Amino acid sequence: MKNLILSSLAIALLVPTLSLAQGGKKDLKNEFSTLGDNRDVVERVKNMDTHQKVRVVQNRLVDRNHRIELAGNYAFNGGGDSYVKTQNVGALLEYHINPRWSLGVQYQKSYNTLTPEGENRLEAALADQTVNKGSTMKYPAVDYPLETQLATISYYPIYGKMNLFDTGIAQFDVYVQLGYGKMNLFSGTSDVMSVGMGSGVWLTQRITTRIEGRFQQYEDLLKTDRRKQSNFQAVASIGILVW
Amino acid sequence: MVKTVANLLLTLSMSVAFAAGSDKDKMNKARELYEKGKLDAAVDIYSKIQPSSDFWLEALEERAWAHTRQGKFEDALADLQSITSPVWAPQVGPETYMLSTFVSLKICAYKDVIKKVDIFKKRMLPRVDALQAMIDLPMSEETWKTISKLKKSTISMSSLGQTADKFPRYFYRDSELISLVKKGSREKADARMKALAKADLAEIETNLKKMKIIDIELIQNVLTLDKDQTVKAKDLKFSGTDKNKTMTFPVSGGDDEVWVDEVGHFQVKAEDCPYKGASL
Repeated sequence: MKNLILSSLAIALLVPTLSLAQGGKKDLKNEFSTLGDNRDVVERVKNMDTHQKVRVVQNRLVDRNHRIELAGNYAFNGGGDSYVKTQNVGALLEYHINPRWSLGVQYQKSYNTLTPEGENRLEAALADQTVNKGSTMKYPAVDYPLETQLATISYYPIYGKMNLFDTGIAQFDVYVQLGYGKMNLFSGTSDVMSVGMGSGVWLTQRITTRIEGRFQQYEDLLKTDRRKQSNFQAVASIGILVW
Repeated sequence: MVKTVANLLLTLSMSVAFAAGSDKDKMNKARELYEKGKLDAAVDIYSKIQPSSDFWLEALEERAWAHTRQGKFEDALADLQSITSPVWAPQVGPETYMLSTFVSLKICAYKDVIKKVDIFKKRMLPRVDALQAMIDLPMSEETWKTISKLKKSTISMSSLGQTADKFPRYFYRDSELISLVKKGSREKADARMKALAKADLAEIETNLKKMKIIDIELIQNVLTLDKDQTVKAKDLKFSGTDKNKTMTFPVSGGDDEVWVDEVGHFQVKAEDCPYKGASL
């Protein structure tokens, strides 16, 4: 049966070739029309699995085995004391054990201003106390961070690459980060814990950049009232792999 | 002793000369080894051709042939995955598609055979038109302008880019054509281009015939299979890579997007002909 099919098909293939040869100039384009035109086979093959897998294996463009990264960063705070707006400028030192794990230390200096709500409360109290000596309206009680030191551990489980506006390709890793340290507040010192998630983009063998979202918990003090505070930081860093 | 040292020095000097040699020399050496059946050695030399070289696509194709002869179909498919990607479509010859289809048939990846037959038709038909036009019509100003660059040897596959399929493959390496262009003999250069175009058409025709044989083999294999025969796909696993130094990305069958940086970095894991009675 198998041979019969093969013979019939071979004859079917050869007949037009012979006739073309006899007919002089061949029309090569027409010869393509009989290639892969068996609809029955195409239909049957559609239901068959392809037992094949393809993947791409590429070297990491930036070696992060036993490398040290030094970066400067800017962070904007959300949450925390509702009367205080805090922005941070800081630096981080990260030791990359390998592309999946790194240990780091970070320092942030905080710059605080009153929020519009805080300013309104302050101005209202000030105005009221100026005209009314027996005013019970109080200035808003605030506490705010002055500086933070953190020790962190980061795990980079996801990686990828991005097209940099058709000028090149950069590889990146997405990481989760746990941190623990001390926060100096206006009222004193508090322990601080942080959980973050971000992405490090390794632009060249030397230049790095990071974007990170970080949730922090600490305690502040309003006069005698100690309270748990949570804030969220959006952090952007740019750094160099110094070694 | 003296003879041994002399031999060592000779081997060393040949190695140094080869290392410093051109990609053309490397290709010639690899081809010589391939002809002699020294496939491992040939593969090693083909692997030394860098992606920036004008010989890179040929090196990958010929390495795929070597892998096929060795029965290393996964390695052959990995190379062919690179060179048959749409990025290189205007630069790749018909034999590459034929080889890729053949290897898929060998491992009974019938769906891929159908897909590759289709790709062969889609990529070769416009080329047949372009080559036929080159044979039938006098040389256009645009073509003469392009080949005139041979006076300064500034043509390569990459410089031709997407227009490469409008010319005979590697016409710029043809010494006779180069000599005619340098003499400014347009008529004779036109005749030479026509001869090269005819050779390319003949190559397409030869490979079309081979594709038809593959097609027949496919029909035979599929039609003689038990209609209800289904083979559950095995859980194919790649060998491990050094996760500290590499990144791996999956490639799905329907992925038409090509990242140029990935070309040359494919790995294939395939099950060897899972359908009973279907091997070649």
